[in-house]
Formats: sequence, C-alpha cells, structure tokens
Amino acid sequence: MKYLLIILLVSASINNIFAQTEKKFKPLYYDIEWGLMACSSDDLVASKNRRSIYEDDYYCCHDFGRDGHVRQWFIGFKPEFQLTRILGFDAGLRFTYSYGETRRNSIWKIGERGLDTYWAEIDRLDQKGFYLGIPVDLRFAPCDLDDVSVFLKLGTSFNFRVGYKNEAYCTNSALSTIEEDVEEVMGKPNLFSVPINAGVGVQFGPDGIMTFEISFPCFMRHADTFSMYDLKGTGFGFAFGVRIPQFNE
Amino acid sequence: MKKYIASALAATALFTSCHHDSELENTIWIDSDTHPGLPEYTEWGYNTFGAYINNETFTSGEWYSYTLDDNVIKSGNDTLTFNLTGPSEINKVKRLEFSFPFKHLQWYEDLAELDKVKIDLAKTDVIVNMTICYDYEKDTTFTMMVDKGELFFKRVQRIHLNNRLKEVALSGIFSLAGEFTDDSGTKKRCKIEEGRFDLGINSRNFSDIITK
Repeated sequence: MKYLLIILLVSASINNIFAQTEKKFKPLYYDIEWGLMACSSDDLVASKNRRSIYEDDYYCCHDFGRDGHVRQWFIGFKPEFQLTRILGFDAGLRFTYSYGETRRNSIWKIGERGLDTYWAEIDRLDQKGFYLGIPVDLRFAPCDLDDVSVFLKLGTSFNFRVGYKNEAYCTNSALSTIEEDVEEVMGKPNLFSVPINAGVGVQFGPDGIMTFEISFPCFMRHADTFSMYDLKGTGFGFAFGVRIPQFNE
Repeated sequence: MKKYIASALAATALFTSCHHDSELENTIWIDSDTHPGLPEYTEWGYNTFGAYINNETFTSGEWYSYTLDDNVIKSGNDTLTFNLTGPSEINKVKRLEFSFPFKHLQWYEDLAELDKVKIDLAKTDVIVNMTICYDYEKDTTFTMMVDKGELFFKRVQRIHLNNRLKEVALSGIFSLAGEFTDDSGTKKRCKIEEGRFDLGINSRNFSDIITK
C-alpha cells in the first residue's frame, strides 16, 4: 500500500510538471496563518535546581511531574510567491507566544551570602516569551486535484524576543517574596530562536484559499527559548491559513 | 472544637515540615562520568560519598545513605571526629573515621568553621581509623599509619530552605596512602584515592559529646 501511494504521488508530480505550462496560476498570495507548536522538555537546568529523589527512584513513578511542557502559539502574515504552479516561497512577519511550565515540586537556589545559601521550594514555574520574527518557507505541492492539493513544506523562522514574564509559585503561599527571588533566578528566555520545521498540509477551496498543515516531525533546533529547560528537540505542530490571491488588474 | 481544630492544624504543619526535612535527608546519587562506581562530586547536600580503596569502591550506597544512621560529626573538647559509614559487605571497608584537632563546636551550624579547612592526615595528632566488615556480627577497626594524605572541606554552606536554617552541607575531597596492621600482625598497604563527600548535617547526625 505504501509503495502504491509513492507511485501515485510521483506520477501526479510528473503530470503536474508537464501540465504546468498549460494551467495558469496566480504568482502572488497573501497568507494569514495561525498555529501551535508543542514540545516536551528535559529536566530543569541543573545548575540552578536541586535534583529530586523522584528522578532516581525506580520504584516510584519515573515521570512524576519531572518534565516540563512547552507550547508556542503563533500568528503571522506573509506574501507567498508562486515560482511555479507547484513550488512556492513565502516570507513575512510572525508573532509567537511561547509558554513553558513545570508542575514538579522543586528546590531552587535563590542566593548566596558568604557561607549562607538560600533555597526555595517551588510548586510550579511558568515562563512566557513573546517573539517577533520572519518566517521563511518553501512549499512544494506535487499533488493538485482541482480544489484540493497536498503540499510539503520546509521552513524556518528567525525570531527575536520582545518581552517575557516569569512566574514562580512557592509551596508555602505566605513566602511571596521568595517567589520574586526565584523569578529572577529563572533567567530570561533566549533572545533569538530559530526553529526548523518540516510539514505536510492541504490547500483546499477555490484557488486553494484555505490551508491546514501538520508539522511532523517538528525539528525545534535552536528553538530553545526557555532558560529553565533543555528541550528534547522534537515536537509537533499544526497551523491553519487563509491565502488571499493578488487580484489581477 | 477549638482544641480539635488546633490539633488538626498542628498535624498539618508537622506533616508539611516533615516532607521538607525528608526531602533533604534523601540520598541523591549521580554517577560520576569520570570515575566509575563513585558519585559525582557535588555541593548540594546530596548525602553521598565515595572513594577507591586499593582500587575497590567504598561508597555511601546509591539508595540509602548510611551516614544518616550514624553520627557523622562528633565534636569533643579539642577534637572533631568525621566519619563516613557505608553498607556492611563482607571483607569490605564499612567505615572511615578521621579525628583531628579542632575547637569545640556546640551546634551543627558552627560547622561553617570548617569551610576551606585542609587537614594533613600524616600529622601525628590526626587519627585515621578504618573499619572492615569480616562478619555481619563483627566489625574490626584498624588505625592507619598515614604516609601522606589530606582531607579538604572544599565548601561548607549553611542551608536555608524557605527562610529557615535546615542543615549544613559539607562537601569535600580526601585521599591518603599508608598502612595498617591486621589481626594476624601483617602490615598491609592501603591507598585511598578520588575520595569525595557531599553530606547534609543537622542535629540528627551531629553530636556534641561534651555537652551531652
């Protein structure tokens, strides 16, 4: 079945390559996109955080809240240049909101004064980052069936941090001043983030006006925006889009 | 009614504080990348220690630190005794004990005086005892004649958790070369290398033997 699918895809591509000189296509679209990417993270950064027994207790649940969760929502606008009927290139502007949290009970070092070292016991940590960036994608749509076409996408996004917010919650809610100390120690999300994405999607509707894509696998290389975690490097994402063609004169 | 509420609150507070204390008294074993069988040298009060004694490992144990069962520090009039106790295994070292001249310490918080202190183990006023488990019913202790060696308290920290002093973290390294005389009168060479420790000391494993 797998081989049949590959043969069909290749045949459709060859058919489209020869047919493209006959079918007309619009050279420019304006894309509005919005989507989500998610990634799991490794343990909290060791230098600031005292390790917990749960990480090493093989008799206990090994994943007892030890991992963090990282999500990125984005919205963007980009002109899409159709180089040929099946090959497109787009670049534009994107706003990304990154959110990471851990709900593991952890002990953080918040300061030192001489021979005194100060730790805080934390119930939950949140880190939010706000990024403006330039996404750049290459889109290849080998399979075009009237109002539906399947495309493959390879792209990246050059993101620059424009804001962030840290929030820490102590196990003892009366120690709110310690929470501020922990928020300082957490550090800032990275100033730059450059994720690399590969995905597959569909364009449907007249002129392929609507798109839906899945980034799978999503290589979040150099997308480590969080100061607290070591990202595991892979995740998944999806995005919706609206493609507005340039009106002909 | 007020009595029951007060009791419930006290029980809750007690449970919460017990959770914090037990977390610090746990053993956190991190394998050393460079020295197989030994824990990584750390300064977090992870309650581990390890060394190679004649190329065999002597450690606190990965799952439970036996140092918590014994008085790790005993403070006398002009002497401080620092001991490292591991699990009992036949024909293996169970305990290393270092006694050296040091001023009397009444409270475990005073252990901060040990920060950056180096003890020359070859000095005549320093005693190093090694206990070997030959039988689960019987341990035998030997006094070492040390040719050269050092015990170094690299970092001592008073640990405050949630604004309360909880323990003193003693972290350091040690090594020595010397000999001891066994039960049959035979002199045996002993080399201790790559020794490291990272221990949390509180009133549970600190003993002021003068005041008591």
